[in-house]
Amino acid sequence: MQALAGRRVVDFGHVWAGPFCGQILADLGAEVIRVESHGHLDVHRRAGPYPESGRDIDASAVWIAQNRGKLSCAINLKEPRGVELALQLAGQADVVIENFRPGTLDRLGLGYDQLREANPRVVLVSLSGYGQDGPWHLYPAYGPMMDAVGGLSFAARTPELEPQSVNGWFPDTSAALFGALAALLGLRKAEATGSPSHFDISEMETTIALVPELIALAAANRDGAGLERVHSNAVPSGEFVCVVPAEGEDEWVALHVATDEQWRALAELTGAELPPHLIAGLSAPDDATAALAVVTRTRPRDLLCEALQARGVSAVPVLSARDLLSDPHLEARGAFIDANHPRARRFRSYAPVIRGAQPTGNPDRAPLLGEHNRYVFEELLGLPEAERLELEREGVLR
Amino acid sequence: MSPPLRVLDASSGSLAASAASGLLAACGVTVWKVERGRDGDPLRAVAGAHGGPLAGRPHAWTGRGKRWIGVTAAAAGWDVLDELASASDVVLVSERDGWERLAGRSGTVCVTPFGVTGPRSDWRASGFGLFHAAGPGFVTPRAPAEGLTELVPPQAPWGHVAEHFGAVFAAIAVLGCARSDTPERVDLSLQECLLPLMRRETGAWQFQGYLASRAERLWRVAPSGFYPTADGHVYASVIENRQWQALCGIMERQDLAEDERFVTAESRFVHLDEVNEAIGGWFAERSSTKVFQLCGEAGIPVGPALGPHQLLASEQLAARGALEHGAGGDAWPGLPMRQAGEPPTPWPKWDEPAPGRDTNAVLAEVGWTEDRIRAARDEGKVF
Repeated sequence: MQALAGRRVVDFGHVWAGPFCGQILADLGAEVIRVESHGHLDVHRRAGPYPESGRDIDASAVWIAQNRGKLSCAINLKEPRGVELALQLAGQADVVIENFRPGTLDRLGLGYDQLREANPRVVLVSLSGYGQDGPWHLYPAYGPMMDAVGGLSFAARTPELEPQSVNGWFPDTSAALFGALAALLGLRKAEATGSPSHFDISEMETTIALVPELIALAAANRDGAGLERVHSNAVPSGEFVCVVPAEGEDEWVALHVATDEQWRALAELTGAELPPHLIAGLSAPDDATAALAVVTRTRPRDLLCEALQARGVSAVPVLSARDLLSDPHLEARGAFIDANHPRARRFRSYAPVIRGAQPTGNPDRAPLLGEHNRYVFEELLGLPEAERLELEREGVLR
Repeated sequence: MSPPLRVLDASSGSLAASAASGLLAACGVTVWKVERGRDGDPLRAVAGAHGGPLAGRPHAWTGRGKRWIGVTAAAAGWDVLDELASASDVVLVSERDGWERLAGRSGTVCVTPFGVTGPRSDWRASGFGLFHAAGPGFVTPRAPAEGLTELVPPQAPWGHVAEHFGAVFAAIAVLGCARSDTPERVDLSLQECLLPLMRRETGAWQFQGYLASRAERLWRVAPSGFYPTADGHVYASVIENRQWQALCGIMERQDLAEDERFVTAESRFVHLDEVNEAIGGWFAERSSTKVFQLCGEAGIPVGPALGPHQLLASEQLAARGALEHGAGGDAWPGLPMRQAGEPPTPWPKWDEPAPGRDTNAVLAEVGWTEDRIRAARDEGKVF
């Protein structure tokens, strides 16, 4: 999609929330310039996983996956000249993304007031753990703990009612998504009125936005009624183990039997003596679940899913990373991109989730650190080549 | 919040699509919600057993701020839909027939579990099924470091996390279409919306042949994970050495700060049991609130595990006006986007619209005369 063709985004993001927000905008066709530095490497350049060849900050799998389609320039923001150039660059951007600790951008001299002075139509998207204000706003916030703070660990709690991590996936990514949505809204406003925007996105708030039913249910039921339910009021509904292969990982099917008709289809397919509890009015869900678990254990996962789906039952395989990469459905849809990366071997990462008729025109791989210094500092900011090289040697553009 | 934009939501029974257009309506977009048949959207029939006016009712939750148009489910209704679509900037659908037929001026976005192409395009999936079909379920929950001793079921969070997550992608896609020079067509798969979550796991498999599973710890650092407190649990993610030093400082355990076994995150992980034994008691003697406050002020990433009732009472959410409260004790998360320093834009009110409530007004806006509307009603095309 080329919805943002001709639009420039400066991405001061780090870790996940900021970079993922930038990637979504790159996937819509924006030119996204990642600002980073050797002195303060993104954690995902430092953390891998790396190819067999060993640690390489340009070849970290996570880095490659979540920075596809961007350009990279290196600026040391501890140097006054670096801040000056960063501000010049941001002044040429339609959107600026950051997920520093609240107040950091101001201290660097790159706050909203300075950005607005450099570009009166700028859209600044600030992502943070708790937002830009409030009593917790300066507390540190990492993804897995934000699962806990945002109610997701409660929503995924164990049968023993202990909270459980959801691996820190949703706080960062939901903030990134709302950040991208905010950027689009801000651009519409800037184009219509010429006025700037500063969006304040809190991971805690975007996380609870993923479980609105939980909040509303608790508000309406102060005694906690209903909160014990898992997934839905359909029974059976849950994960059932299938035939465990002789080698490799265990395989599971996620089943959601919502109607009598689906229950009958399930019983007919399996030939099992399944209790007609749904017809009888949800009288014996535990019996039904136990009976179903016995049946699924004798069936190969994929065949069971196909047969049940053909009968209108929501049955999907629980897929592993390996399964995903070779999944025929995802393959047929072009859900992955195989990019040739200069420092990693051919690498498969997820394709733009939002795919329109026209390609973005952006690179299909992530940039090397500082790979686009010449373009950014010479072509965009007008520095003579000699000065750019000198600043690189001095560590300002590094 | 944004200049006028008109979206025709012709989806049916799709929480994700309905939530997407609900988000857009909250952001100032004009949303025309079409319901095919007098019973209305199938989402109307979904009701939680314990809900208040909004709780457990996705139709109400996602329907705020929309205008409601009734169109017959019979074939005659398609002509009306064609006209509404051509008067809209973007059309949002959730089924193959709408995808193949309807086109907004700037594009069409189709939201389905697996997309409208590919061998599983006709498959159905619940919200937690989507979570599993995209991979996250395979690595949830995280088992203890010593590995699995029995088959641990994969697990998904309660509720409709996958649909709400996909809804934001869908809203982005709609705004993206609205900016395109030529009409766009976006076939959005909810399964694919979740694929970016697996970037680390797919990378580890490609580079190292390592398959992350439920036996893996998220971060091989310590302390990391849930710790019981006097009244609940907190999650600690102590990665940097300065954070460990700070934790030792507030625990007044200089001996731990100087212990050679614990000098790096990796070495602490090697000595995980000793770390947990050393700090577990300190956490267990204090409330989650106290631990959170002490750690937060010292820059240590520790957060309390909050249930929904605790979220409703959260001082942070209250200070930021991040929850909205309605009649009858209802409460719900506010729009999680705001201008810095300002409260979030309130969600539009839910006013229990009947199917077809705004049919006449919307058709008049697209140029239908009163006579034409009356005739269409008499013919049963609209209601």
